[in-house]
Amino acid sequence: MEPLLQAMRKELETEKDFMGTRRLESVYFGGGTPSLLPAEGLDQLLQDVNQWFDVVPGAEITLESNPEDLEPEKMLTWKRSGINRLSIGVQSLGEEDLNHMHRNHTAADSLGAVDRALEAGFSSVNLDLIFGSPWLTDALWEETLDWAFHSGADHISAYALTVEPKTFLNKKIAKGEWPEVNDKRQSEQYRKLYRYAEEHGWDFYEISNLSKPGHRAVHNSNYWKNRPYLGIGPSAHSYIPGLRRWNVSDNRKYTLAWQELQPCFTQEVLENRDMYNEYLLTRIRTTEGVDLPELLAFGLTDAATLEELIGRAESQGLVIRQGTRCTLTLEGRLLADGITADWML
Amino acid sequence: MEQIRNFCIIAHIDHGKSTLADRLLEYTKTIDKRQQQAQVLDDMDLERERGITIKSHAIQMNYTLDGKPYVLNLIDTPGHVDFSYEVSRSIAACEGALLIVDASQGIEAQTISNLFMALEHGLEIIPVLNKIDLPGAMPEEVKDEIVDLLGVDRDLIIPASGKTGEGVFDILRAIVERVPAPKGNANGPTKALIFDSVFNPFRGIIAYYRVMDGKIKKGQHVKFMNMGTDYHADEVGILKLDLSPRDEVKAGDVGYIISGIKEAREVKVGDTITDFDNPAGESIKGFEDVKPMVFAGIYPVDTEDYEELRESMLKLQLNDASIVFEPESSAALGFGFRCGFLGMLHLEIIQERLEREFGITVITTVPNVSYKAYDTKDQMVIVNNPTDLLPPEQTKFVEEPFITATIITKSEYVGSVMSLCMDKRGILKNQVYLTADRIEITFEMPLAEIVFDFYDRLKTISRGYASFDYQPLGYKESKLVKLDILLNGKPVDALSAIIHRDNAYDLGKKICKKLKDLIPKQQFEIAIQAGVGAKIIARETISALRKDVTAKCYGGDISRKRKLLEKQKAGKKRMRQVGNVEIPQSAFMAVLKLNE
Ligand SMILES: Nc1nc2c(ncn2[C@@H]2O[C@H](COP(=O)(O)OP(=O)(O)O)[C@@H](O)[C@H]2O)c(=O)[nH]1
Ligand SMILES: [Mg+2]
Repeated sequence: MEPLLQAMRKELETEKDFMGTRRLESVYFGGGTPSLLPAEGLDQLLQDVNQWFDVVPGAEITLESNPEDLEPEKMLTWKRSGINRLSIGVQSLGEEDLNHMHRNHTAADSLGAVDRALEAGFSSVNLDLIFGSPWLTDALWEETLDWAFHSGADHISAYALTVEPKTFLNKKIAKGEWPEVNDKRQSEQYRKLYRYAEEHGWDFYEISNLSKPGHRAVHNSNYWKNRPYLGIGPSAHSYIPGLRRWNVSDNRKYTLAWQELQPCFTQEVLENRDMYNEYLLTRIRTTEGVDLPELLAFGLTDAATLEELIGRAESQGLVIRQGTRCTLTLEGRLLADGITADWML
Repeated sequence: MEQIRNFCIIAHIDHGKSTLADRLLEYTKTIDKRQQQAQVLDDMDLERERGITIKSHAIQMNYTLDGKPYVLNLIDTPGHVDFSYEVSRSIAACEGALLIVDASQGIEAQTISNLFMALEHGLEIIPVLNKIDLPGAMPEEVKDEIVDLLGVDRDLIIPASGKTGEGVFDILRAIVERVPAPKGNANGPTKALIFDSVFNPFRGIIAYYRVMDGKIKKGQHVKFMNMGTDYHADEVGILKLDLSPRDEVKAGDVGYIISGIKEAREVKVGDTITDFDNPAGESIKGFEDVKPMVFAGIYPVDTEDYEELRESMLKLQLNDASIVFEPESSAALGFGFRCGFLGMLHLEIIQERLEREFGITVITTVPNVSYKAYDTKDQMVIVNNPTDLLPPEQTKFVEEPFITATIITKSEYVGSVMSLCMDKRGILKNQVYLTADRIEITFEMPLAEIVFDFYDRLKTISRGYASFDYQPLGYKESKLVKLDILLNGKPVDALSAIIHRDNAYDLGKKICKKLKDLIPKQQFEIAIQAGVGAKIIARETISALRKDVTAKCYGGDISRKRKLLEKQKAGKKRMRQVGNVEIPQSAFMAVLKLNE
């Protein structure tokens, strides 16, 4: 871990001006299992962040973690380093589900973890949940939601199980050894989640994210607002309007490169059209929705064309309009990709 | 004329024709090592890639034997059944033929039919046992086959290898000694047989011919007898590696003529060139206006590209006179063309050339043959498009083209080949053993049955050990019906097919199943139905799309997702709409892919 950590520190220092500002509203330790990073390493990185950047008071500083890693002492050191928000990879409370997803933790681990996190003083806790798997019954999903909404967590990220090509899951299903993912069940479970959010007065502010009012995740929200971000470490993505780049994914290559102070990334320059399409695909997923004057400001399309596209989706009950904004209905959320593709240039 | 030898090569694909031709050019010093690139005579990219000769070629070699100089004209022939008329014209221009047989494979069906064509024209056949360098060569068995087939003296078969060069001088000697010199009246009126023509963007059409009588001179006023057109010979010459202009080309020799002709269709292979003022009495026998065998609709993928497609088709026609087309429109596909082709390979070639040479991607509808439908008043209508077939109650009967199919295979595959042919409505006519384990089977079957899904299946069931050839046999009445495909109750004209009544149920079911895989889910349920007349015979349902949304969309996902959706969008743009259903391009070829 040590050489990788050193490489990341070098990257952090070298790239401190990438965003054009050193003001930070949020810091996020995620992707993979950063909670396995020794507490000192994490502390070191946060010190560096404070040294090179201007972290605003009350900034959101999140750590992704697995339920089985949440030991009280560890949590205390994290807190002391400045972490103020925990995102816990609960995924499921079904044993069968967890086994198939190759998770090392049990439902009991998850149930205890939230309590321990709250006891350790993390007021902001996110639960990562996965629904729509072949092993998650509707009853179990309801139980999971009953727990999640009352667990004390103030945020939930709920993802539909996705069968990515070339994954273990995909192979098992292709061979017929595991049941197929059923999109009817997935959509039913999503509807249930939507109803729960309504009933509990939560803010379902993005297709996969919901929170208690006023508790949206600052960091993730910024991805959908065209804000710059700097990603540190293997595979991390960085962005400023018009440019995106991503580091090599191989840990060894990444480390070796930074030993020579040599960045190793791929980058893409985003044309106006790409920016337009990205605006669409991120914004449409949020409750703010897409704003027509903002779309027109790209100078790539005209009002009549937009009216026609939006009008069609509106008549199908997929979107609604509020002033100049246009947001997805529940039905629209379930078909968001097709709608986005239709609207893209 | 005494010094001229005109010959062609008859060989099955891959038996080494092009390689051996290269060797002949090398040994006669027509090309030197430096100029050599493999397969000199195949000059289309497509020909080199596919390893088949699509166009005929001709080249002249000079060769001295026993102190006497000779002129050897090699006329290469296309190697596919789609082009057998062109082969017949090349054969008619020669006095001899090399019969090349791969020593590890033996004689194949296509070779035999071309061989018979050569024998009919009285050509001297020089059998060559090629690839004898191969460890798997079976020279004695294959010699037996050749002796059986030709009744020739075993010693006259020349063992050779295009790879090592062995036997090449023996072949050259045999050409000089065994192929007769051309006969003809050197002083008679001009009479030359056109065996091919090529298009040159700067010079127009260049026609290749063999002079039978008289000569063709530069500046001569010539007449193309069957077409009834006349031209001035701007340039004449002989065919070396490049065109070699001469003042005249004499009786017995092979040459070219450039006369300001702009389009391929003005020149027909098999036509006779004569002198305008002093014409020959009659034209050379065997001329045919080749008729397309297979028809298909060709549509631009993007409807706006119709004009561009039209221009490209016209350009293709400049150098390929055998393609015919006329505008048609389809409710599903918009504006396009109904095109006629010599066969399936020809269709594929045209499709590929449109993509490569003109950058146009097209949707090709399911190919069909040309039917003759008789209505209740005994009026005959030619049906080149399934949608033109009148409803059953207005149709008295329908005729379809039949062929005689010849298949040569190993005896162990006879059973499967037979059942395939029966399955394809074939009627067994004959079977003969060529050797102890090779058999020739003859079937009568409808041409339509080999148009799709025949070659591939034949290849599969015989593990590649079957060769196939066919001859048209004429029209016969068949119980044919039009199978319609409906999406949410609306017929999709481009998916209609004319098929045998007994296959309708089975095929309808298969097509519906295949379409179910190919048409993406939409926001509503889609009913796919197959029907004959008013009767629905098969149905599948595509359930409504319930969920189409990516779970995660954070920093690392956005770019990938954008590209994915852009691709999806491009795919959607290329879809065609019938009623409220969107159909992807691939669906229009569904019938061809039923076994995939
Ligand atoms: N071993 C061996 N291979 C040969 C010989 N002649 C041709 N080949 C190979 O056989 C294949 C087909 O040859 P080609 O001349 O293209 O055949 P064509 O289709 O009849 O024109 C090629 O891979 C050649 O390299 C030969 O005499 N010996
Ligand atoms: Mg060849």
